[in-house]
Amino acid sequence: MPAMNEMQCDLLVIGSGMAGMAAAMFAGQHHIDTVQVGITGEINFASGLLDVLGVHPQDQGIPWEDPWAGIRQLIKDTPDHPYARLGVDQIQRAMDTCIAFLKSAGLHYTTRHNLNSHIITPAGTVKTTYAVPHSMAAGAQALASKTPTLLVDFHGLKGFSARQIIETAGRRWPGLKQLRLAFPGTRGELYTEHAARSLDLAANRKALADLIRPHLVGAKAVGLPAILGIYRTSEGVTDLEHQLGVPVFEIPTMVPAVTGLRLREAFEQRLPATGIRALYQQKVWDAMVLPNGEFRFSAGGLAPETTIKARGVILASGRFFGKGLRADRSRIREAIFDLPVVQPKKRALWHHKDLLQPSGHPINRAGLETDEHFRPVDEKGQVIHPRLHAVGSILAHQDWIRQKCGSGLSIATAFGAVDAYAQLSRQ
Amino acid sequence: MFLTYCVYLSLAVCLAGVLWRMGRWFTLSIGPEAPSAPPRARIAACLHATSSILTRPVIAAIVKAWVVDVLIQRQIARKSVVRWVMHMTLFYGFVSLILLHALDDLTLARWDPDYAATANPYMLLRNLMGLFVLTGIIIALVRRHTLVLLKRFNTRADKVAIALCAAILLSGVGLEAVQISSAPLFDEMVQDYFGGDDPEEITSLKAYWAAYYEVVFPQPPVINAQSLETGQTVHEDNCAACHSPPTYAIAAYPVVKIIKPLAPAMGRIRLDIGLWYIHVLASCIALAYLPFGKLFHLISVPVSLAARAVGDTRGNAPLNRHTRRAIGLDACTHCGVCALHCSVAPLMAVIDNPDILPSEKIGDLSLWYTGRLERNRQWRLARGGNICTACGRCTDVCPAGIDLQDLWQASQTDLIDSGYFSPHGWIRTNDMVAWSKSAKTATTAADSGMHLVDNPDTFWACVQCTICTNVCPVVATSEDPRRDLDLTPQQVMNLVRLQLKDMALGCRMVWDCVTCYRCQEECPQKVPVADVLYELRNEACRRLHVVKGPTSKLSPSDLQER
Amino acid sequence: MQTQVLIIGGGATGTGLARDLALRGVSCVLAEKQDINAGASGGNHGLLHSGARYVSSDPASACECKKEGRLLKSLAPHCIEETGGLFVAVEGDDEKYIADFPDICANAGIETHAVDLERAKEMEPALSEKLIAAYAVDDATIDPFKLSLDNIAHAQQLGAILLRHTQVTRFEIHRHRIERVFLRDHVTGKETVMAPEIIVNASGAWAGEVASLAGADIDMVYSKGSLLVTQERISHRVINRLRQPTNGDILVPGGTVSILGTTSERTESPDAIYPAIHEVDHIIEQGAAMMPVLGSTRYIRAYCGVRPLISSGGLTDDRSVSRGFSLIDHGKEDHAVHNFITISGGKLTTFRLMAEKTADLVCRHLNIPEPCRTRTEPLPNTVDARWTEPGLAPNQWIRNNNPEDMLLCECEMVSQSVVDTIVASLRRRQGRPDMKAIGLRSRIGKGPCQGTFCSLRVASYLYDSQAFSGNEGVDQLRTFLQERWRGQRPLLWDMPLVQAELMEAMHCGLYGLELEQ
Repeated sequence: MPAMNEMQCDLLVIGSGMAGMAAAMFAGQHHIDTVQVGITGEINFASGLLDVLGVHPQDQGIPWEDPWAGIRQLIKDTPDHPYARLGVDQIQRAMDTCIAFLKSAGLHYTTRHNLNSHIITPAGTVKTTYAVPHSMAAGAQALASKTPTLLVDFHGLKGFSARQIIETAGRRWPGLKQLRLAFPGTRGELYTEHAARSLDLAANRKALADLIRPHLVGAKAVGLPAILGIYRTSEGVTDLEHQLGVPVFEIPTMVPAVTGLRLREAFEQRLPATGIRALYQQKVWDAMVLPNGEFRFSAGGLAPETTIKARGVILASGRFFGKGLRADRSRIREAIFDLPVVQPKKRALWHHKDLLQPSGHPINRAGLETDEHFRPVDEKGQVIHPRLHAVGSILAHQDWIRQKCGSGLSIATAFGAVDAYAQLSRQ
Repeated sequence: MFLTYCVYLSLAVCLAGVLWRMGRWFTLSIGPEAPSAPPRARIAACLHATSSILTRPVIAAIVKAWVVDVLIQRQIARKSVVRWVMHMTLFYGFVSLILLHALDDLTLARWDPDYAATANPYMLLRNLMGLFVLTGIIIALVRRHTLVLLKRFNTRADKVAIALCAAILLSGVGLEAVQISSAPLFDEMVQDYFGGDDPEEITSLKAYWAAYYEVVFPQPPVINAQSLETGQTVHEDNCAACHSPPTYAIAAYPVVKIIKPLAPAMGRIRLDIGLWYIHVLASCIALAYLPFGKLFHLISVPVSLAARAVGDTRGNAPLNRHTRRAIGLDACTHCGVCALHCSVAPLMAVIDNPDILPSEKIGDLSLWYTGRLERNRQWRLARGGNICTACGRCTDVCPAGIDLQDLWQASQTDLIDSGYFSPHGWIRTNDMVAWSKSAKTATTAADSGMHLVDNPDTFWACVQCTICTNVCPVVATSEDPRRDLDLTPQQVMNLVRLQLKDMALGCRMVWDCVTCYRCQEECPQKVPVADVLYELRNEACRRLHVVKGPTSKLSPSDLQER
Repeated sequence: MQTQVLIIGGGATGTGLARDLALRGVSCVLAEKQDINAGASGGNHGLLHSGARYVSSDPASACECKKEGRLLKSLAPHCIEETGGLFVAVEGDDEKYIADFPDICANAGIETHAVDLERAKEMEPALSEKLIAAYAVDDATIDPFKLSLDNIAHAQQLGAILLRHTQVTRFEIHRHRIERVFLRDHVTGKETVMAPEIIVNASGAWAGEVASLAGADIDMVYSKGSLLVTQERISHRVINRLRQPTNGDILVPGGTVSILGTTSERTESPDAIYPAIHEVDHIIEQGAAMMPVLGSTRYIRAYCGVRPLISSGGLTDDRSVSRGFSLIDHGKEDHAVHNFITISGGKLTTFRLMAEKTADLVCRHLNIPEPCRTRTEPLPNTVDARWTEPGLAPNQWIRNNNPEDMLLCECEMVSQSVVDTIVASLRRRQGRPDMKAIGLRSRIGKGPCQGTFCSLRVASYLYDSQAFSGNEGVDQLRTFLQERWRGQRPLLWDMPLVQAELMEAMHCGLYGLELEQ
């Protein structure tokens, strides 16, 4: 067996999803000596939209125009929701900081004067979200003002039909027209990442613009699936707008989408510059607390490769898809420390018989219970370790999918936890 | 008399050998073009091409190639100064020795009426050249035994060539040293060339030569001022014209100093005569051996360089390509430069097959084309030959101007045609469906590596997100994946999961995977996509062998990775 | 709409009856309130019983099973895999039952062969180390969907009409005859009226409800049975536990998977039944005693059906209710309805016999002397039914090698052309394409992703090919996913839970389907 590498750090961030990335970012801004370890899983599946709060209460399906007012109501109604540990100002600061960071990495986001925006989805439904990528902003605008729009889809791009969007959303958004194109230079199936890489190049964007232009007649905007580049999306959108003379916007596609890849690339490229030492594509194999209260982990890809000693930990390992939680036939466990997980009494209570039951499945609210510093606590409410924090979707008492608060939850709790860690360390 | 016969005999052998080897240039058929053309047609084609070249400006390029690459060896100089020194000292040292020493009767003796081999500048020059050659031999030996790659692949031909050079040179130097110190030889010379017979003069001369010319007499003469003065006079009158002081024999003189205590004994057994025989015979053997070993490159390399100056092999008429390749086989000096630059040479660390290296591959090809390659080394050649990225570096760096890249392609076709294993070639002769039919019946007992393919747990974690295909560079560079690859990575995984493995074996995605492992790295569920593709390819390899059956010269056990 | 016979219920019996009547030249309409095999015909093991399972409780049924099984193997070989079967007992099983088994079988005329224990382990390596007895029997497996789809497709070719999503809402009865039947199309909401000469109630577990529309009273017992699908094929043969029939004692191979079942639970109604989580856990524990690997293997889907049992009153164990069938001519009852017949009970293995007996009765009523032809005429292998077979779609797709024919379902490798074929076939028979129907007639949604990805791909494709319009796609997606969910929910631990989370994140998180009520 090869010798293990050794690393020592102040703070170890476990997880490289939205919450892990955000925690690493905030830790970097606090100048905390940080190592981040995690397999890039969930973030590749991100829609690129940054939700803060869309729906509350979820069993009534009430959407909020002003997410901050919604959060105030949510905190009032469900005081154990992770948002309640923070308050609106902190959440807002966390979002602003994250959006500024992404901008510095070349990924531009826009918000509608601190209000929620609405985005058309490939199913033709409308999604409520907070910050939208610059490349989708014109779409929110066009939907809001019912702009006559040409929707472009591509031969071979499965699960994205302009006709489906037009037929489904027709009543809400009249004046939509369909244009189906063969993607320049390919035949057969089209995969989003390949197409996006191709459209990072100006020559290919020109070829695309030339195909679209003759069909513009009357259209005041052009919508395309989210394939307009990976690294130079804003530049690509501006270029297309210039060539076509109308606003151009992207519509999210099925996962895995390049919208997630853009986020991942932005974080992965920018974080090391802030001093974060990242071990991506590695996972934590085992963890222990040393007699002096510090943590020792082994991490690696296919086998343990690195020993990491850390004073503190931010656990951002996600839920089941992120492998932070595991379930067998009888119960749900936390994967790394076997922390106590708040959960329904038995498996029969995990899910409703109806998949789409508005109140959401009880299992979605299972997770880690924490104190006000996001430190996991046991059944008696005692903090398990003074420097172990948990953030993101692994937290209990939230249903990020139905409440449409995934990104906000990840970013805001990461903000809160890193802040708490820094303050507690100073004391 | 005997030695004269030897010289003529070896010359005859040499000439015959050269003709025989050049004859092979027109009889070996290498490559797929125009098979089984008669030698006469080949010779005609070659002459035709040659004559047309002579009248074209390209002749200047050939001359330039000769000057630059044969006489100056610019290419070697650029790559390695040490090698250049080795080559130049060996080459020019030997050429001068042959012209000015071995053939001195035909050269120097004619040009200079006062020529004497023991007089300066000739003696100094000869010794200087001897030292040159010695330097070359030492560098060659050191290189052969210090450079890791070369050390591994010293062939007998390399050793014989160096040994012959060393034998000629060392016997020559030794001969000269023994001659210098030899008293019997002094006596013979006195008898043959000394006019008078005054014993006192002879004694003085002896004293002079013992003092200044290092001759060791059995009864040492009295050496004093008077005898030396007389001796000098006698010497100047009779000897000085033909004999420069032995200190000028800069190669032999140090040897003289060493052997001096033994000189009387050497004189008694007339070692000088013995060494003379050895020296001449070694030269004869070298001459006779010239066409049969790597020394033949003296002839083949200039030819090869001339051909290279004209252009790539593919530019030649089909018949001449065979000839060109045959010359290439002969032109290899096994210098090893290609191996040092080979892109896949590092693979030698894990695959113990010398035929991965161009320098070894060409040697084995030469043996194979002439029917002398052992059976167990044939499969080694067939497999090693497949491991090539076709980067073309070997051709670029070859100092002998061999179009190696073309030779690999041509020989691979020949190997496949004669039944050597070529899964990549075979797989393209049928489509996926046809292969799946034959693969079904072709079962092998051999081990299939990590046992991922037949284990349903391998695919259990897959959430069907298609990220493996999204990140695949092979799919990304295809204009139409269905047409070019049959299936994308996630489709291969699903086909195997659906227990339709037989179908996946012939799918081109399996064969075109570049094992970059991005699919596996990016998979959120860590499905070992690339490992599965690799395992499928291995299994397909074994089954293909069964399918191709009797036409294959390899047994399934040969196909296990070693 | 004119017809001689109206058949209510599109399960194995109803479709078999439609074909039987059509072959005799009798015109018929089959009205199914959901889709083909929506009830017990689709919620079973797909086991062609040798009969040995019923030898002690119901020897007559056992004998019928044996005869019908043989007949089907020769008439519908494309629906059947002749796997053979084993009856196995492990330590702790009732030794008397084991000892009596061969003789009872012999008495019923069912062949069994004692198998040496070591040989049995060789035949089926997954068997428990605690094996104490093994007998080989003549079991086989049958694809019930292919069977019913072929039956109805052949009937349609012969002029029968299938009305899917069409429920009988009311009978108009005059002088002990049903004069008119009122039907309602659930999709369009359209009402139709029909005046058939004979009405056959072949609605399985719903027979009581339908009969009550005609004022007839059938005492039904609703016995739900749940089954589990494993991710891989565990055994070559059908494996039966050698004991009194109870829960989790049959493992049936089906193509590339195995099906473990069943349970028997009383329910109040045959509607809205779900495999329950405690049933799943119970089946797994029971199965693991027979084959330990069943305790650790991975399950991809659960489903259930309601056995159409006609009670004779006062029963405690539903398995002791006769598995034979009941053919009721309501004209001979107290509140006689002369042109109303109910066929219920029975088993999948005996569906053809049930159809034959029913058709005989219908023909007697109609004075049609035509003999039954399903006993001799092979069941055609129709295009409509072929896509339910695992592995066929990828095979065809690769063979056709049409670059324009893209896969919509990646798990089971079902391409656009298969969807086109099914849509065309549904339309040809005056039906409207819907995603659930396409799922029923193909492998779409049946792989590991359980509709996560293929649902939207299929919906988009159906929009593109003009099969969908307006905003019906949202409802189609919801219905399709809910149907998949029924089978996923009891199995959501380990990897399927990961998959389910991803599905919810996509379909609720991004598309917001839960908000589109």
